[in-house]
Amino acid sequence: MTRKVLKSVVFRSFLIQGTWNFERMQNLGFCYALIPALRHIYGKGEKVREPVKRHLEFFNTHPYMAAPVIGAAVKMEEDVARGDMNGEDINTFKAGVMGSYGAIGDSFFWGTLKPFASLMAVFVSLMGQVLSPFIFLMLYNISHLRLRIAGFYMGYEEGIGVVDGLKRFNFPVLMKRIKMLTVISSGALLAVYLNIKPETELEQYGLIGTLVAVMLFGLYYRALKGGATPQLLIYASLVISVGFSAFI
Amino acid sequence: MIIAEIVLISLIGGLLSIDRAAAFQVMVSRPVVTAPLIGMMLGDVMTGIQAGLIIELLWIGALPVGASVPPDETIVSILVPSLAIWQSRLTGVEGFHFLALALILTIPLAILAQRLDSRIREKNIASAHAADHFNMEGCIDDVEKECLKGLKRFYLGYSVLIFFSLLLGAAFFPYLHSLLPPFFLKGLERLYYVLPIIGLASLMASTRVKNSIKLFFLSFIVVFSLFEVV
Repeated sequence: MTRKVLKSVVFRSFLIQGTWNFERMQNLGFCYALIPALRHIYGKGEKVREPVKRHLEFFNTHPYMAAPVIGAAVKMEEDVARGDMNGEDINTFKAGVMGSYGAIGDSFFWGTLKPFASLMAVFVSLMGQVLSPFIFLMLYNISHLRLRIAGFYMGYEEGIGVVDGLKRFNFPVLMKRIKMLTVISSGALLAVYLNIKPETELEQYGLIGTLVAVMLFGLYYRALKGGATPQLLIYASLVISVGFSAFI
Repeated sequence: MIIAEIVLISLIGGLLSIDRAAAFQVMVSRPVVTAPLIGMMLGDVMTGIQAGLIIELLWIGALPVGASVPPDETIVSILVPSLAIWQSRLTGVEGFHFLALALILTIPLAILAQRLDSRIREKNIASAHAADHFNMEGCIDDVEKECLKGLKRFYLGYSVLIFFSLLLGAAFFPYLHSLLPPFFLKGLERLYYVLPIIGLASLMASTRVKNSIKLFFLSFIVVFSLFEVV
């Protein structure tokens, strides 16, 4: 496999969800990423039809976590072409890892890293700094791009062994720490928010204003735990706030 | 003049929207990036930063899990700073109630965009079938083309939705604003201050950490006391 082909597969892996569909989900994206490698391995003739068909089957995982799977699939296709492996085995491998990879990706990237990076950026925004978008993008994308690029090459090196290789990223420990930090920062953010805005009425009323804000937080928390959506709370607050303002 | 801005924002907004779920996902579609970017395009970065911080917090607890996509925060982050900036340009005043009003008007759009997303993902099924067909025929180039058709659908769908939303917004927002009595504007301004509290509550409600709420209040009290002392 040439470096150029691998690079093109990496680039294409960023489009894995480009034609996401309800029937086979990421199948088109997965196949699209693999096509340069399949062409390289099987040439332009009839032989490429079978592997393309194989990768048009159902596939769905977290979009970032797909990168190591794509890398491993390239490696395994080489093995299949050499006759060391059965084509069916690749699909068994893909179907076997996509569920657990999806769960790790959802809880690490969506559930942990994104809220943390958001919160840090919000801190910076509150200070009136225009740097916040850059801080967010950096905090988030260092891990994201590392997983997608280094993860792809790791998959290509290790083939089916990539399942163990991913343990090196140490997601569970990392996740616990970042989540803890997010909770602590959220409490701090509320305190900063209530102090930093001298123009709010809450500030005008001193400690009572702060107590009202904390009580509101508790009420919202309860409602959200009970199944309310933030959107619903916004409109409920609007009604109360406007009604209140009609009198005071 | 404003029509040129609407066209420009729609073209860029479509690109930002595909980052959300279809391509790259480097998160330029997050409110904290998108809103300042739109603000910059309209010559008022600070309003963009303000809008971004509020919308980011409101959506911070909403997570896509597997195949489900939450209401679209990107379109809200495009609309809210645009409407607020145009309004302060028009009236010559600045006010947080512009942002709050724009927000409550565009939240339904977030749900509309979510529906659009589902529709496109249904349409993409046709590409999956077409790809099977082209592969049988041995036309791998056509298989590749089908693999990219979804991107075109997402881009066009979002750009058109953003275009018409901006058009409607630019046309009716000033009129709507002029109808509102002063107490309503005051209520909107008060709502604006409360929004970050809703966001933080939603983050805490979606966090699964042992004793998280105790830890939250401990941190709050420590930092709050520090402010009081200093």
